[in-house]
Amino acid sequence: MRLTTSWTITQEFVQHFPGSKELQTYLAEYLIRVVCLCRQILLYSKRSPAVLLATSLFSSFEAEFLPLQQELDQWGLLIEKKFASLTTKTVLDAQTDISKGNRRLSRLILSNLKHQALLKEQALLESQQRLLSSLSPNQEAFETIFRRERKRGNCSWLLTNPDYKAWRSAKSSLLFVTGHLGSGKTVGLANIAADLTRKTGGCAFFFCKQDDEHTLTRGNIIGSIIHQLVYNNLGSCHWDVLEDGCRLPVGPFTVNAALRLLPTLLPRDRGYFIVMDGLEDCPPRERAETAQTLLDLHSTFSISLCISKRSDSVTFRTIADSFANAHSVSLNDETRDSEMQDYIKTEVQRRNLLRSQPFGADVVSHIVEQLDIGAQGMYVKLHLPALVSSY
Amino acid sequence: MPPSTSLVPSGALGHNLPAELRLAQAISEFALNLDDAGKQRFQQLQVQLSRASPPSPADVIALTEDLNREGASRHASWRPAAGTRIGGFLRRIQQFAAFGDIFIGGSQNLIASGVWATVRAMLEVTLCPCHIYPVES
Repeated sequence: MRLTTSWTITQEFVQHFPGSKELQTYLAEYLIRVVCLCRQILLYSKRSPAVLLATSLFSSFEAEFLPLQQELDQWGLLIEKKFASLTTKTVLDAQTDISKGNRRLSRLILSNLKHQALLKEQALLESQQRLLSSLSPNQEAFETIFRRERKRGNCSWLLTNPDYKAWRSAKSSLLFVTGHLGSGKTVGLANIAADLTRKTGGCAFFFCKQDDEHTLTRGNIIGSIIHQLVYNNLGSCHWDVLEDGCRLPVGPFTVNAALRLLPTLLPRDRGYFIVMDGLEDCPPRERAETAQTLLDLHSTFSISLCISKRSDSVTFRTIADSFANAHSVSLNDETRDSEMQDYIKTEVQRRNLLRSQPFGADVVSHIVEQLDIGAQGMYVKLHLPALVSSY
Repeated sequence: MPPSTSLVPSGALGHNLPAELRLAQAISEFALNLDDAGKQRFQQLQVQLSRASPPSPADVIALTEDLNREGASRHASWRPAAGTRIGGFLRRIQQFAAFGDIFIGGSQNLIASGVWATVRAMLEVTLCPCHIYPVES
């Protein structure tokens, strides 16, 4: 799915250029193509098997949808270019001190043309978007990490584990997911985050990656978590505290400012879930400060925290001491081992069926056995494609 | 001959319409191609979304998880990648749905209840042709 990956502008342009008619048109044109694409996929799926077979002989799926995809890319590119040109223009205007006058003028025109309620709604939306984007400017990249980990596999044994279920149903509790290096903690936590989102309507998650320094600072971790807590409860937040944007600072919105605002903004009468992976990869100081902030949030709100760990460091002992209700799930578990064996077996059998000359049952059984031994209980050490080609 | 990707028939009044109205027209044309059960589901989604808050990132994850769950129950070779893979695309549409109506100036939650509902209905109908999704009252 290459759709929408060719351009990068997101909602920022709305905040900066709410009055740009051209941008509005480009956005609408882009969305028209999205709807057309949905319609085309719908019509494609309604074809009879015979027609589908004939189509597949004379044309490919890619070729059929390529024109629409190109149109989408073109409109996306136009939006991006228009945004760049408007940004440049604004900078130039600011230098000649015209920008203020223009903005006032456009606001005057807007106020005359549109209803006051709409303007108020727009101002609130701008405040919300400014708050959210200031809190976590790299949120899309953090969500991509989650999706990448979630795509790696299912952990049905973990989601049916009694300790996990008990933690999920209890209020304000702690769950440690323990396991050695490469045992699949991150994939497990990605599954937990997805399961919580599906069953409880949303959770805040963060995945620290050793090779990405942006994911290892307290500011980015806590910023992203607050971003998600607010975004997932957008409808129930007390937005009156942001009325007219007067409570929002003019510059970037810091995490500490957000933490001060949070108790009045976020409803306290409900429980929240936070899933935190890879905290051990952070430098000691960032780790300790992040843990302290999580505990501060726990003291204000009813927070259930799920956290992965390899060791038993001071940070985790402090966290464990702060929760009255704590659970633990170990990835070095027999059920988990059997799931891994099943996974290897299924994958090898699936790939074997794709071979023009499938291996016999004894060879398959030998491959499964050797893979199981070689993996040593670690998904990261499992190299299926190298042994059984899927061509 | 490949199907036309143009939104409105050539020479029709549509070419002179503003883009937001043509967007509404495209959504209507999409609905026309649904069968009765699909139309009912689409209308339900539109009503739900026009009443509720705009979709959030959590809604995107919930939708991809639903697809993964349904896919896994239907196909033995279904991988979680298949549903999760379209998360990036859905996230972009969700972002538009969250702010687009105010930006475009539509008065009927055109993007939140129209485009998002269209994408969701398309995924449900094409991936679950028997409409196994529960019809919520």
